[in-house]
Amino acid sequence: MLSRRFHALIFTGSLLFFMQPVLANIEQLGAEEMLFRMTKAMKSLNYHGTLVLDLNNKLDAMKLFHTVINGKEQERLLALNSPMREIVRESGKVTCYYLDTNEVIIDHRPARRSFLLDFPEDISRLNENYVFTLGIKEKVAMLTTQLISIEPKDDYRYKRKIWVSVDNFLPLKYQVLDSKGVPLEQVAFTELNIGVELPAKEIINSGIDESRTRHIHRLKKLPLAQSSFVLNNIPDGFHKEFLTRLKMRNQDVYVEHLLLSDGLSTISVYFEEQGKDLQVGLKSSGSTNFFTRSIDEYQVTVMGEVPAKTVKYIAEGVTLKDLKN
Amino acid sequence: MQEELNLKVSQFIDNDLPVEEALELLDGIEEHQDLKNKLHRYEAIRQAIKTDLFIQVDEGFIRQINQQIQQENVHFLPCKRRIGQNYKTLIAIAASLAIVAVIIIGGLSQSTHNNINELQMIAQDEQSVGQQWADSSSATQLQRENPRYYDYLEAHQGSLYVSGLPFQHHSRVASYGQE
Repeated sequence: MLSRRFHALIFTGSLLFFMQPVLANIEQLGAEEMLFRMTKAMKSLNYHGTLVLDLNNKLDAMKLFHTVINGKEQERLLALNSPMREIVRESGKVTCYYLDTNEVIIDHRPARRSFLLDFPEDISRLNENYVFTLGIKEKVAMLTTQLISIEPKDDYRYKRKIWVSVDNFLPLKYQVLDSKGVPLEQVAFTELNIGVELPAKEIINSGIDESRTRHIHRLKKLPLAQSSFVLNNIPDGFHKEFLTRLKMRNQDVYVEHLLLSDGLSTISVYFEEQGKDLQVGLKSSGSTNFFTRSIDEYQVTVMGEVPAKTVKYIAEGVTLKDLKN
Repeated sequence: MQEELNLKVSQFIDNDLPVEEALELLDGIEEHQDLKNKLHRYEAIRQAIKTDLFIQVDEGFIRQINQQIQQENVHFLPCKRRIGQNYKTLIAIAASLAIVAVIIIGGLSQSTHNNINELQMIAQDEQSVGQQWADSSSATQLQRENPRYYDYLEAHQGSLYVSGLPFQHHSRVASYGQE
């Protein structure tokens, strides 16, 4: 009995001794360093678990699998509720397969960002518009996490909260909140297994019915100077990222699309000839807001995962380029 | 040997026995019903002397309580015994269900809250025009009610691949993308 206790004592002592630097390091880490490690952990670890998603007031549950084999990532999302679907992200493409309808969407544009949480690796850019603070430690899916708040410096963007595991730096819970602190969207693990390397799923394209498959290809970037409109109201911190011209599905209509971003929040501006489909004014879907207005024979819609105030402000500042000149 | 055990029982009752020996004694007593009975008797006598009150404790009652404590969920209690893999799985499932239940309940109350807040915000921000989709929860609803907004949404999320910029909850692509 004494021997057993002695060994237990030695083991506990050793554990505490070796854990001390790790625990101390975590205590010393700032919010930005934690977020940086989080982006690395999401890419490099093998993990799988169950996610509960509360998006647009709709509750959903999905299985997430992340596998890294020889440095190559494969990430799979498996819906547990209808519509039953599986989404696979691997180098160069994202494949989404719908079980009920046998429809397949293959996006051939490279997607390096995680399904779990899309967060930039270069956090320094975000400092201009957001403040990162460490909150309390909480349990999520039975694991200890460090809460990190990402507070915008103005009310043109949403606040976010991320619960990062102190053991492996994976994000275990994520919330987008409105200005009053009410969650608009949230994602949380209910159980998580780490370190188990699962075999990557082999997608066999030959079995896919091409008639029920839609391919999405890379868009052609246009010079920003070619846009037909001018944005006179751009909230501080948002920058023009790219301009393209889209052909709308099943229609011979082309739309100019300008993307703005502050590094975390993104906003799209769509500009096209007046149509019958759109009603002017503000529309909302969860955290996404749309604002449409007419300018002569054109219409402009500004949308994004930003507060209603932001899309309205930008839309109201749009003028036609030739009119301005 | 028997004398020695009797002495230890007596010392135990008087709280004079060191902890190590007391634990050893209790372990040993488990196998000797007569010693167990003696211990109960001594305890009863001690109680009666100290408090002038004698309560006969049913041994079966103590055993039942002991068994119930053993079977109690020890999830939040410090526990020495090794928890089996199956037990861990059960705990994980129970925790998952609890979290889902909390999120559902929270979601229900917050969705009401959200709607009110959203409507208030829209009323404040947009006095002349401003509308939410009747069921803003569903991207399919969005597609049905206004396909152009749906196309915009899809292009917005898809376009982010091109620039490599972040966007929230890539998983939403799964529901937005269905034709």
